[in-house]
Amino acid sequence: MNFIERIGSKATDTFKNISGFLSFSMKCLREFLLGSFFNRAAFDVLVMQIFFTAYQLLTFFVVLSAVFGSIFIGIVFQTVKSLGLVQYLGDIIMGIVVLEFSPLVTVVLLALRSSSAVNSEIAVMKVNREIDALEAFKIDPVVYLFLPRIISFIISVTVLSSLFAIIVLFSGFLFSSAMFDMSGNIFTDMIAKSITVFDIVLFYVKSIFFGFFISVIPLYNGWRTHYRFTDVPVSVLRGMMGVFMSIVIVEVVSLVARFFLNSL
Amino acid sequence: MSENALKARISALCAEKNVGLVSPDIPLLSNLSVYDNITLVSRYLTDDKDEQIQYVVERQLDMLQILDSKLKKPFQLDAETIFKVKLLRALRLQDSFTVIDRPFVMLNTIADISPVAKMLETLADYVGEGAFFDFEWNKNKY
Repeated sequence: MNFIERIGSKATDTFKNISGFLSFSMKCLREFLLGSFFNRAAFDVLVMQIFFTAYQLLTFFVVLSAVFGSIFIGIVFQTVKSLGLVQYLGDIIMGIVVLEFSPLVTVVLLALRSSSAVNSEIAVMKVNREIDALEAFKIDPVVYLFLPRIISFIISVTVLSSLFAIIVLFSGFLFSSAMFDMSGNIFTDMIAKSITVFDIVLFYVKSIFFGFFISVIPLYNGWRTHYRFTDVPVSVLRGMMGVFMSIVIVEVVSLVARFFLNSL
Repeated sequence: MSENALKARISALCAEKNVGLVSPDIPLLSNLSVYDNITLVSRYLTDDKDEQIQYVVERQLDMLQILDSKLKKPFQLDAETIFKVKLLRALRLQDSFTVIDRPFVMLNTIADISPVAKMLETLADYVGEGAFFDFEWNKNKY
């Protein structure tokens, strides 16, 4: 194969991959809008997935948020104090720690724990022909397998990010009273002044996009696995690379959006 | 008839009719119990009440003497039980034509079709129209 053919082949593959992913995402979105997840069999899967993705992780997540969040906010407070930027404390807590750090830590944790599991689960189901079995009985895999997982990821990322933010804010309150002798009222007032409705909307929109991409990419890669067990690790590898790229892209886009909208 | 020709004929039939398929190529879902594998079709496709589905499925499991396997996962089952569960799953598809594809691949210890015929006889109240699909060389086993 000559050089030009190789480029052409690569371009065709990339195009097929992107168009396949888009049509897969569109199908999932269409079923979501049609409310297909209210099907009782699919709803059972949704409840189980929320249990596996969010509930089972809860204790570990709360401990991690408390430890990691406290250390991080402690460092931020020390830096703020040493640079004499106490008047910007509220903006720093909300802008960096709550709005950026919370969803990012949550999504990385969920991607490491659950996206890889979902990717390999679907890939193994495909290789074992279990997805064919569903189709043979007129059960749409998008409705029964994929949609509940996507919704559970979106709910999990959103809820756990909010929980992380609350725990970090509580740590922030403890540190501010210890380091700056700040009362609860002053701390609450400072936080309230530094947050806008737009920030809250962006926080949730970002969490929803994170949840969507860290589920739909592994699902798509698992689903398009060939009928060979040797393809399972390749599928997980591709899926996890895609998840990593999507996290970076969503983070960059949200930062750019915040930058532009704040400067208006 | 070759394996590919058999599969092509079954695919053509599936396109034509509502087929409840019992086949070595259509496995049970490994993360579901026997009961959930059987009831999934009804729970997904119909509005039948859960209690009603449970009553019928437990009765059928009892008739095939596998009620004690109700909560087991597929990896805990022997080939005969897996076949019975696949058969019950196929029967859950309403107004369907039941196709048993290559039974001797799924039940490789049986000498002829009589054990399967006995199962179908036991479930006579629930079995509608159906057909066996198999290789030419197994003809004498029917």
